[in-house]
Amino acid sequence: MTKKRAVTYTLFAFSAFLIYSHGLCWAISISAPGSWSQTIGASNLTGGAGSNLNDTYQSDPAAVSVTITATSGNWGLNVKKSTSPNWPGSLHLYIQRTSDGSGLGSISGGNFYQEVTDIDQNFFSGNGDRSNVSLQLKLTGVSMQVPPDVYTATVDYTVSDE
Amino acid sequence: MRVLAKTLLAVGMVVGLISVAIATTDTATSTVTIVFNEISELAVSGNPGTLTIVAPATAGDLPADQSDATTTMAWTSNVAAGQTRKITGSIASLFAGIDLYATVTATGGKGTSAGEKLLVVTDTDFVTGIGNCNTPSETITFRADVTSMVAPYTSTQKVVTWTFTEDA
Repeated sequence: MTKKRAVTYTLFAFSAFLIYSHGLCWAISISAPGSWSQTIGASNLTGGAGSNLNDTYQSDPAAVSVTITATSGNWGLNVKKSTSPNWPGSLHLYIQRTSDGSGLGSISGGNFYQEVTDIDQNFFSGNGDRSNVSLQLKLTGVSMQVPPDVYTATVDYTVSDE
Repeated sequence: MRVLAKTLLAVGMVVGLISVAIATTDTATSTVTIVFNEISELAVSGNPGTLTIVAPATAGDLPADQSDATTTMAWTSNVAAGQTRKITGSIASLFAGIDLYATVTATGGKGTSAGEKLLVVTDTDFVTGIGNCNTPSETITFRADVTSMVAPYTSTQKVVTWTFTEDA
């Protein structure tokens, strides 16, 4: 084997090793099946005609179920929202983690409601893979000042290796 | 060997940078949908007191007007942008010899009161320009105005209907 060929083979093997070893990091993955739909109408008035609407609404405790896989150690999960153009400024969306899920890893934080804003914010963190971590959503600021319409918010969950 | 070492270092750095640049995040999404229905709720507190027409103090005069302001109206409304609602009133049939007027207040920007209006068998606007609001207690004042002398009658009840409707 010539020296040049030896160098080539060595480079190939080294590159393959690096790509493989880093590939373990590349594969971190998150899924978040579930959604929340809330209808607000006359039945939500606090006391019939003349009264205002209840201010606060909560989703099912397990409205969204997050699964994080192919981790390589510690990770953090951030959350943010993007809303439809008609989303009223008086409406505020909150989120909390209602279960630890399952898996060999650990999980911490996010046990109390925090507001979901348009800016990525730390939600909770963990170590190793976790499955079926339940999330609950809450809406506040509902009143008769909000015009009747359909409002939507897309919540982004971004998991990152740390 | 120096060439090999430099090349390995370069490859390692490139792969490392690629892994840092693209490797460590993933994003999932969920959707929140809020369906906010139109709400149009109207209620009155009950029936006004009996309006009793009594003899005038001075012979030759018509009996004095009688009024009642013991009942209230409540409404809750939301409407699409650019729209408003109104409250109309009507009476099932007229009293003999008496015109019945009514006033509905609209305080705090919860609409615009039309002031005192005569109740007739067709709808008349009493409050207009009602937007997204709720108000639990607006006063209804009824006034009976005797217009002519007729044979006395008692316990004559007329139904007044209040309607919440889209403003034209």
